[in-house]
Amino acid sequence: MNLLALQISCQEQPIGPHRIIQHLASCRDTAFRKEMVEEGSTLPLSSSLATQYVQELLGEKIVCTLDDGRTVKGTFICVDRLSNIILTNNVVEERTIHTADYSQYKKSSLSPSYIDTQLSMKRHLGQAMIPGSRLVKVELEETTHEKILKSLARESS
Amino acid sequence: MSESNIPASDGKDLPETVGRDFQPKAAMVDITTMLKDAASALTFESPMIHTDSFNLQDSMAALEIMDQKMDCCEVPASAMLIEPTEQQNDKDERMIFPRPAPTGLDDVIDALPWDELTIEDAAFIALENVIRLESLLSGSSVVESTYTCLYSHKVVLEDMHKRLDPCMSLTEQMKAIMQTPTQKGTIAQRSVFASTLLLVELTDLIRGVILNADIYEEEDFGTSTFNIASFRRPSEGFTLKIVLDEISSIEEESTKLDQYDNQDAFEAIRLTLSFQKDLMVAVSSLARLSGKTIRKEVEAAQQSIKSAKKKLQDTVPIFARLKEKQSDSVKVILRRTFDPFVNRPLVGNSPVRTIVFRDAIDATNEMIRMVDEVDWCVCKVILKANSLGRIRRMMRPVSSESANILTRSLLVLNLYFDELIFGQYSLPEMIVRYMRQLSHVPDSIVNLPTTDAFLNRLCKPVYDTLKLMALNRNRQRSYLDIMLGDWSALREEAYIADMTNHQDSGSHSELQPHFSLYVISTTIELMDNYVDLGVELELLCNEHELTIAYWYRDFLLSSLLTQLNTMRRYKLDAKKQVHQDAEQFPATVSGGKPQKGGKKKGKNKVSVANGASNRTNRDDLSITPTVEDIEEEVEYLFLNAKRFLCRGIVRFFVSLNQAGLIKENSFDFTSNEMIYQKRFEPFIGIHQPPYLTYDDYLKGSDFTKLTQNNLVSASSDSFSVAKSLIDQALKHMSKLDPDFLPIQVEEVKQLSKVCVANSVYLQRLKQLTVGGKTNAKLTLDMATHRHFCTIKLG
Repeated sequence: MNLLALQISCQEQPIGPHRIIQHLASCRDTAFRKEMVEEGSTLPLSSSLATQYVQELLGEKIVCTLDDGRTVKGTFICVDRLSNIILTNNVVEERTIHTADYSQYKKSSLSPSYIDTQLSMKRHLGQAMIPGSRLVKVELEETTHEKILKSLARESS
Repeated sequence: MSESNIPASDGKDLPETVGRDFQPKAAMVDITTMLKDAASALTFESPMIHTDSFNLQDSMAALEIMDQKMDCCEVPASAMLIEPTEQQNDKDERMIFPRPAPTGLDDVIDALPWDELTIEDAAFIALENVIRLESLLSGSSVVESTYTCLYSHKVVLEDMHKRLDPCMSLTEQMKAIMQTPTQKGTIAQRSVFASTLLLVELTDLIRGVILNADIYEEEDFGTSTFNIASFRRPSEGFTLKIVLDEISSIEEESTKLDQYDNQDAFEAIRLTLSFQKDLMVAVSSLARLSGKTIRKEVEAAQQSIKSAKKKLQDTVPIFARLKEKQSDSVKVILRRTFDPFVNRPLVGNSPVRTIVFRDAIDATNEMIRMVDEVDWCVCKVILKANSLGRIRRMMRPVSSESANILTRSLLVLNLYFDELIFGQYSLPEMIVRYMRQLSHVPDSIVNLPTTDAFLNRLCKPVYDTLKLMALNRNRQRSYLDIMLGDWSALREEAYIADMTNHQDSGSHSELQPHFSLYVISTTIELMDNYVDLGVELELLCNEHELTIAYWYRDFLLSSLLTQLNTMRRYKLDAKKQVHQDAEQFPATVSGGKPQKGGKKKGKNKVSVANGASNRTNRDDLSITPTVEDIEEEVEYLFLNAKRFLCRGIVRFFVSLNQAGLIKENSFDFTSNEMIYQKRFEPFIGIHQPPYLTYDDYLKGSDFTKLTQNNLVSASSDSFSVAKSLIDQALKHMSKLDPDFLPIQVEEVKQLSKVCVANSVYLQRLKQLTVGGKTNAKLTLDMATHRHFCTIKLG
C-alpha cells in the first residue's frame, strides 16, 4: 500500500452514522492526522511475515493513536480481524485539551492577550479495547522493533 | 504536536492527571501497516492473535474506549459550535472532553467568575445549589451532585475564604481588635460563598446521618465520595456564622434599595440562604437528640423545618419572575460554574448512572416535599406517638409512601436511644401496654419476674418490626425473610413463658396464652406483609400467581383475625368481670389508684412491683372505649375488609378460569408447584400458622362443585361485605386524629374503588358467560391500589 493510499484510507475511516456529528474532525484534527501520515510508516511486509511480527509483538508496550488525537499506551495482548486491539497492564490514555475550549464562554472577557494553552490529561485504565475503526496509528519503541526483527530473522534462517 | 505555551502559574497547581506538556518520548516506529495487514489476514477459523493466557474474561473486562455506555469519560457530546476564526471557513463540531476539576478561583483552564459576579448571578447560583442538594437527596453521589458546582471544590472554597476573610493579614487582625471588622468582597461574592458553604455542609451532614443509620440501599443513596476532598471548616459553627452574617447583611442592603431595583434577586438569595440554614439546623439537631430536653429540641427542629419549607415555597414565584428576565450573561455564568461531567474521571469505568438534574421548579417542589417529610415522618412521630400501636400506625405511611432516605435515616437514628424508644418510653412498658390494649393481661401475670425476662427478650424483635418500616420496600421483603425465622423461634419461648406464668400465678382458671397470642399475631402480620410486598413488587404478577397470593392472604388474615378475636374476647370478659365486681363491691375496687397505708383490701389490691408501676393502670378495662380503642377497632375493620377483598378476588379468578378466560401456564423448566414453593419458602419453618402446601392450595381453590353463577355471587358478596366494612370504618375514622389513622383516607378511597370496580366487572363476566363468549380481553390493573388488583374485562 503506498503512502497516498494510506493517507486516503486514514481519512476515510469507517465511522458509524451516530458518530458523524460527534466526531467530524476539526481542521486542527485533520491537519494532525495528515501530519502523522506524512511522517512516514514502515515498509509493509508480506501477510505471513506481518502475522509473525504481530505474534512477536504480543506482550510488548505499544502506543495507539485514535482518530480524535488521543493516545493509548499499554501492553499488547490481542488483535482481531477488525484491528480491534486489547491492551492491558496499566493502560494510560492521554488526550490534549485546549483551554480555549472552556474559556470561550467568557467572550466578553476574552482579552487579546489570552493564550490558548494545551494541556494533556491522563487517564489510567486497567484494561482497554481500542476499536479498530477509530485506530489511526500504532507505534512501538525502536529498540523493541529491532529486537523483533532480529528474532524474525533468526527464525527464518 | 506543537509546544504548549507555559501559563503564568507554571502548571504547578494542576492535578496529577493533567500535564503541562507531553513527556519526551523514546524514538518510535510506526507499525500500523503491519498490524493491519496481520489483522486482515486473520480468518473466521483463526480470528485473533493473542497471548496464551488471554481468555474470555480479559476480552469482556476490557473497557471499550469511546463506547458511550462502557466508557464513563465518553460523555454525551457537548457538541460545540466554534465560532469561525480567520483561519477557518466552516463551522466545525467536535468533542470537548470533560474539563478537569478547578484548581482555584484563578483556574488555568477557565478562571471561575468572581470579580464580575452580580446579585442576579448569585441568586441563580444559589438556586442551582438547591437543585444539586435535591439531586443528592434523590440518590446521586456527591460527585454527581454537590461537586458539579465548581465553587464547592475544596481549593475553590479555600480560595474564596482567603479572599473574603477580613482578618487574614496582621494589619487587618489589629484593625479587627480595635473596631468591628468590615466585610470584604461584594454581596454577590459573599452570597455565593455562603450558599456553597451551606451546600457542602449539608452534604456532609446528610451523608453522616445516612451512613450512621445504615439502612440505605444502592438505589436510595450513593454513599461513595470517590475520594473527593471536602472543605475543612476552620471552627465549629463557622458555616452558621458566615451565613447569619450574610443574611443580615442582605437584609440591611435590601432596605436601601429602590422598590424595583434588584429587590427580587436580594429576596431570592435571602430566602434560599435562610432555607438552607434552617434545614441544616433542623437536621443537625434531629441527628443529635439526647437527654431530657428531647421534646423541646424536636419542637424547635419542627419549627425550623416548617420555616425552611415556607421560605422555599416563597422562592418559587420570585425565581419565576427572575427567570423571565434572566440575561444571557447569567446563563453563561451558570454554564461556567456548573459542570455535570467535571468529576467523571473520578467515578471510574463501571457503568455510571445518568446524571439527572430536574428543572428548577420541579427540583424546588421536590425539595419542599422532602422537607415536609422530615416534619410528618420524624418530628410528629417522635412528639405524638406515645404507644406501640400509634408508633406502628404513624410509621406505616413512612414505609408505604417511600419516604426519602434522609427522613427514614433520621427516624431510625432516633427510634431507640438512651435505652428508650424515641429517647422517651421504656420498650418493655410499651409492649405490655400494647398487649393490654389488644387483650386483657392481668396484673398477676404482668408483675411476675418471668414476664420481665420475656419482655426484655421481646424488645429486640419488636424493635426490628418498627425498624422494618423505615427500610425501602425491596429491602423490607428480604429483611422479613430473616425476621420470620426469629419470630417463629419466639413462639416456643412465649409458650414456655405462658405456662410458667400460669403456674407461678397460682391461677386455677384456664390458661390464657397472652404472650403466645401476641407473638403469633405479630408473626402472621409479618407473613401477610411478606405476601403483600410480593404483589406490590410484582414478584407475584400473573393471574395464577395472584390467585395464590390472595388465597394465602385470605388464610393469613383469617388466622390473624382469629387470634385477635381471642384476645378481644379475653378483654371483653375481663371488662365485664371488673364492672360486675365494681357493682357488687364498690368500696374495694381502687379503680387504678395505688392503695395508701399498705393495708390489704380485698382481692383487687393493686400491687406495685419493682419497675412495674406503669403496668398496673386499669384504664384499659374502662367500659367506655378510649380513643386508642377506636383506632384499634378501625384497624380491625380494615383487616376484615382486606380478608373479604382477597376472598372475592380469588373467587373472581376461579370464575374466570372456569369460564375459560384464563389459560393455564405451561413451563419447560419449572412448574406452578415449584414457583409456589419458592414464593412461600420462608413460611416452611413456621409452625403456627402451619405452612400450606401447593396441594392445600389446589384443594382450597377447587370450586368445581359450584356453578359459575354461584361462584360469581359468592365473589360479589365478598366485595359487598368488604365495601360495607370499609364504610363502617370510615365513620369511625372521622372521630380520630388523622396522624393516628391505621390507613390513610386516600387509601380507603382506593380500596372502595377496587371493591366497586371488581363488582362491576363481575357483572360483566356474568353477561359474557350467559352470552357464551370466551374471548374477552382480561387486564389486571394495580394502578388503583398497589396491593389489590382490579380485574378488568374488555
